[in-house]
Amino acid sequence: MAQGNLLITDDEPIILKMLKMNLADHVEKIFTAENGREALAVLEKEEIHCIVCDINMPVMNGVELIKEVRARGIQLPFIFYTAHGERELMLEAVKYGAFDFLNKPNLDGLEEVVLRGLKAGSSPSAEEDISDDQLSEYKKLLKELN
Amino acid sequence: MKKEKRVILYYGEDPEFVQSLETYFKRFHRDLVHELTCLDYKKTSIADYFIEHGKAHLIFIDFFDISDKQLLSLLAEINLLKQSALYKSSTIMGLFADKDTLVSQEYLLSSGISLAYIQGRSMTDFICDSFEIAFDDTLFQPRYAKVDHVDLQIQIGFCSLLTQMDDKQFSIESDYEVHGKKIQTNLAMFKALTATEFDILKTYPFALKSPLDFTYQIKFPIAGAWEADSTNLIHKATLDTWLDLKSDLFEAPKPRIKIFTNQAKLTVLLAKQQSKMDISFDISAQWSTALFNEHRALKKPQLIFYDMYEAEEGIGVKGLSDLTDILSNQRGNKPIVIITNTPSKTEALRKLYQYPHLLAIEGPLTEEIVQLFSKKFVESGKTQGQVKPTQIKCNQPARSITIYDQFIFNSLTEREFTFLSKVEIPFYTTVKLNLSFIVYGTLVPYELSTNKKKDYYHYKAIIHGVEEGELEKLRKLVNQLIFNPVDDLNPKTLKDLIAQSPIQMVPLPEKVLEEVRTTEQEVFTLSVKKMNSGIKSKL
Repeated sequence: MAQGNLLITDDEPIILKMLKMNLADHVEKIFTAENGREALAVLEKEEIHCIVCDINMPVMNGVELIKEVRARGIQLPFIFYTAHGERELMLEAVKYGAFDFLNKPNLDGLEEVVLRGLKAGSSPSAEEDISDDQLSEYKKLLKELN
Repeated sequence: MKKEKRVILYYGEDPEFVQSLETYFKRFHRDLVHELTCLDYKKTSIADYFIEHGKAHLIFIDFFDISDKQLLSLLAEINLLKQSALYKSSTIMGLFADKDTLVSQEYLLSSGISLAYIQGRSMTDFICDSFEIAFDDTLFQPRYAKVDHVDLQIQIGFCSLLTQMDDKQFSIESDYEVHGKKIQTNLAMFKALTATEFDILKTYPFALKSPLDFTYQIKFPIAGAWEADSTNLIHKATLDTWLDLKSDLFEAPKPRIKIFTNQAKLTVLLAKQQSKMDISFDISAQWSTALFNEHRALKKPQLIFYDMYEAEEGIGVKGLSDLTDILSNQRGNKPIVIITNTPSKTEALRKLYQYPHLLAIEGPLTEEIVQLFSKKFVESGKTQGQVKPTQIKCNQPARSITIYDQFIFNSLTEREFTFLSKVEIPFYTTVKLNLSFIVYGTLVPYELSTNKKKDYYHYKAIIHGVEEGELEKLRKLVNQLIFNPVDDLNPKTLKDLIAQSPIQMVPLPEKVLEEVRTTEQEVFTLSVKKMNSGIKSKL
């Protein structure tokens, strides 16, 4: 089981339930919220290491949430759960630092992405460093270059 | 009103020249607020100065004793600085020992050098001309005899660069926009080929190897096997032999890296590194979908840095979206895109932009990051494969080439000439007149306005690159035209005058002459209005 606490934010209770079920065995603690405002309340009380967030929600959507979180100086990884046609919101979200995107209703890769997010959230690296991972990734890209 | 300090650099090995400049300023322009610095090119570079002190407005580069290695480094530096929106306005003047040296290095006038000064000419001319070009400032200028309303058709050349050649085509880069599918030029290296008009295969609205505005890919007029020898055609065997014998003129293109960044200082830092690296940088401070589409077709960058520093509408999220769309749809090679100054992670951006060949870096784009990734890129060997050496080396005299077109010669003094043009020409383009000697000119903004008057644009060129002896000949020509006004001559006398003149001039057809005279009248009226309203020098 990975170290770390996860916050899942989605306005659809059934999605919250589904994600919680899929991730319960891989994460220390899971908190849920039905909109951005509730998520902020959780962040104020609990230690969270990664957020899985629906990008389009009433009351406070995913973009407004990440904007507010960043304004508070919190650099947690945000994994956005998006549906088709939400590209404009995604373009907005990346301005504040998106960790990854997952497509609804596909759960493929969810666990892997969340574990990476939790790892990043638990031990953040200094922003100026080029990490070994980034250099390895670059070498992979160079190999693929025709 | 506080006068802005003029920052002037001398880049060479002659501190006495700098001293003579200071003496001149003290004597004739006491109230000139300036800073004059001497840089020894064996110890430092222009980029070093810019990094430490900010840009200079006017730079004198002394080409007297510069070595080949220094010249290559300098040209690479200037090329990159001229791509930067912040630094390209720095005006560069070249100092030459004699006319032959200048002519043999004529390509310098299309490589960022705006004006050429030959040793022995008057300091007054030199300072006045360089200040007018650098600061749009008309310092005290002697009055010269002037012939007006010459109104003859004349051929004017535009100093350009021959940058690439293979067995089928060659490329010319120039600030002059050629309209149509034919280009007037000559290929001096092929003595037997006297053709002066060639077919343009393709025109690009940017330059590959220089800070100029256009690239023309031109077809060699190859003779068919059945065709007899002709001075307008070249046989493939002749061309192949020449290319083989002159292979040392050429080099393979360096791998190209495209950098989008608003960081002007980074341009200077990379300019310093340019000649030391096996890489060619193209730097843009703005995003344009149309321009990038053309750019990638010709330059084929395989590594692109996209720096979101102070990202606005241009180099920002939308621009990156357009960029990755274009790259996704292009056939073949998909370049690697490195995005810096982004708070988002690689996986997020790959999914958002549907482009798997990108890497996100949170930190700023720095010289070190460019070097690190460029070095690995070159080491990977995944550059452009085995590419034939078809680029003409930057410091080769063979690079010099001229594009010609016809204009209407309007006025002449020993310092400047004016002409009328049907097409618009950018300011600070270098032109040349082939008299019995070559006269270079640089187009400058003209107080009489160069907005199109009826049918013509009206341009003024400051004459430079002329030796004392040639100046005498220019004076004689001016006097000759003053005392033999074209209008007063009968057709036979005009014909004789033209035949004797060192300038190739052709009388204008009646209808064209009428248009020209109307334009000149409008220009004259405007000049009187402006004189009456009192135009003062900006000094």
